[in-house]
Amino acid sequence: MMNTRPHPSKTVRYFKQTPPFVKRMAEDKRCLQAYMRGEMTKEELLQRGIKLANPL
Amino acid sequence: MPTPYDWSFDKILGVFRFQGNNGADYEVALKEAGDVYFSNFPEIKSLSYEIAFESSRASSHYDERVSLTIVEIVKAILQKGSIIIFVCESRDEKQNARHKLFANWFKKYGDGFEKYDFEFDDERPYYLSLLLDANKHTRPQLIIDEFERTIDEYCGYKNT
Repeated sequence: MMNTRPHPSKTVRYFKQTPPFVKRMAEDKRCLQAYMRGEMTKEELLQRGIKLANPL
Repeated sequence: MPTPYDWSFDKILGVFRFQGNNGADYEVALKEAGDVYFSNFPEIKSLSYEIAFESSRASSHYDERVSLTIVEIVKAILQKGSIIIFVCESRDEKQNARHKLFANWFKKYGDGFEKYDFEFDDERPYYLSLLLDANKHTRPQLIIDEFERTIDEYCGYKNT
């Protein structure tokens, strides 16, 4: 099925405080990077609720 | 014509890996996401992943093959019908450069895919993006609307 969509990209700017879940995402990303540098273990990630995944 | 490096998924580490010509190891990690954005839509939630990249050493020059490889991994994931969410964070003050790099990648390699950016003009800016292949979803607009609705609940005023 092919969808014909007029706007394949869009940018929205917010002029208020960043939502806490976005800040949490940034922290989780830092943890993932620390894990890839060998500075955190998979168990430590899990303790933070970070579960690695392979979508393929 | 540059080509992507060979990459594979390391089952033990749980990350995608490849090695560049400079000897550096590159890794791409994904974590399950979607709890926040798609809690009312379990079928969408189960398709959502947050993504992060890391290399074993800082690159001294731009290697297009690294970009091509990461793009290839991301495309493979999106073509499976997954949704990728990523945040450019502000810890090292390079978030603007990263955001521009991703925007450039999308412009160059993003044909057939959709990207939605959300910028937060906070004390330090945050950039949040959602990537998907709309042709792999029966209701792509619902995904985008729901994602934006969640953010809107926290951020009343916006400028599109």
